[in-house]
Amino acid sequence: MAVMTHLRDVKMIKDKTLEQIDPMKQAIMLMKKHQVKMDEDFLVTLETNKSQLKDVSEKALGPVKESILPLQNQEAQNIKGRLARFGVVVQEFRIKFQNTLPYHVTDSSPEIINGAYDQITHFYIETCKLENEAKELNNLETLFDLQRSSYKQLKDCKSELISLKEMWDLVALIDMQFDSWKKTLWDQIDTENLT
Amino acid sequence: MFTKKLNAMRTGADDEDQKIEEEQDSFNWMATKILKGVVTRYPSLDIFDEKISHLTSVKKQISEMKQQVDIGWLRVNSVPLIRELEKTIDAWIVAHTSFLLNNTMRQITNINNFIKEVSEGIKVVPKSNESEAEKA
Repeated sequence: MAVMTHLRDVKMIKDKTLEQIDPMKQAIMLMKKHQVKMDEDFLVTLETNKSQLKDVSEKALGPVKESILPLQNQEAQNIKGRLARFGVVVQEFRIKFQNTLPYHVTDSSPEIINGAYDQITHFYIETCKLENEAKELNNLETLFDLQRSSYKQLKDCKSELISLKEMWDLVALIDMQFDSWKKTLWDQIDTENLT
Repeated sequence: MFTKKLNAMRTGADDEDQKIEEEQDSFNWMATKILKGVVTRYPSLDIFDEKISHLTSVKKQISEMKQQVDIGWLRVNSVPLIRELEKTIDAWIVAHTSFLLNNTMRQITNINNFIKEVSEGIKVVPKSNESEAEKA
């Protein structure tokens, strides 16, 4: 796994790092132009770094990768199994999510509203847990050159949770407003301002 | 029709989301290795060049100022003022150049460390069961 991590790092970082060498050179040239004292010739250092990085990358993504390929394939199979199991978990969670969460408002009272908030909070925590697991699996996918899964169901859950929270905020606001109106005495009603 | 369009828009947005996520991941890896402690958002080098050149020219102007001026019977010694101004200008030049120097040095150090880390890491390659079986 440690070797795989290095290979992934090289794969992810190499090109972008090489792209940054030129801007760094320009910065050094600028400093030279303004006679900034430097301990060593960083232009030479950068050139050395560039070629070393290329060498290491070639070695890592060439012979090293080739030698661990059988092991990688073997582990990739295990990960594929884990991904499939997680896919089922996510699908089941999505169904439970849609069946349990209060999408419709038939009646409103403080108990119903609090119950709705509790359910939203509970599912929010569950969604976050699954999202973390999905992130971890995404990392493994990158590590083992597998196609990255998007877990759209989890994104849908997250966006619906936000909408549900907003909806129940509104329900709570209206419920509380009516509750406060109920406590108003007849002689305190300002009929002039009702329209 | 509308639903189809909406779905297409949603799918497009998801693809875009995925691209952003991948880009973000790539940046995160960069951030933990090459960009550790490095400032990534700063004005362009042209702006730095312009500013340092301006400060250098101001420094030159200050150094060319007369060291003493006679105003009628009064002789003004401007050396302390010139020195103070030069100190201030130097501090500003150093502020600009040291930022660039430190940022570049940090990046170079990070690249060096990364190369060392990977070189050490790939020295020992685990042997696969298959290759052992092939050897046997």
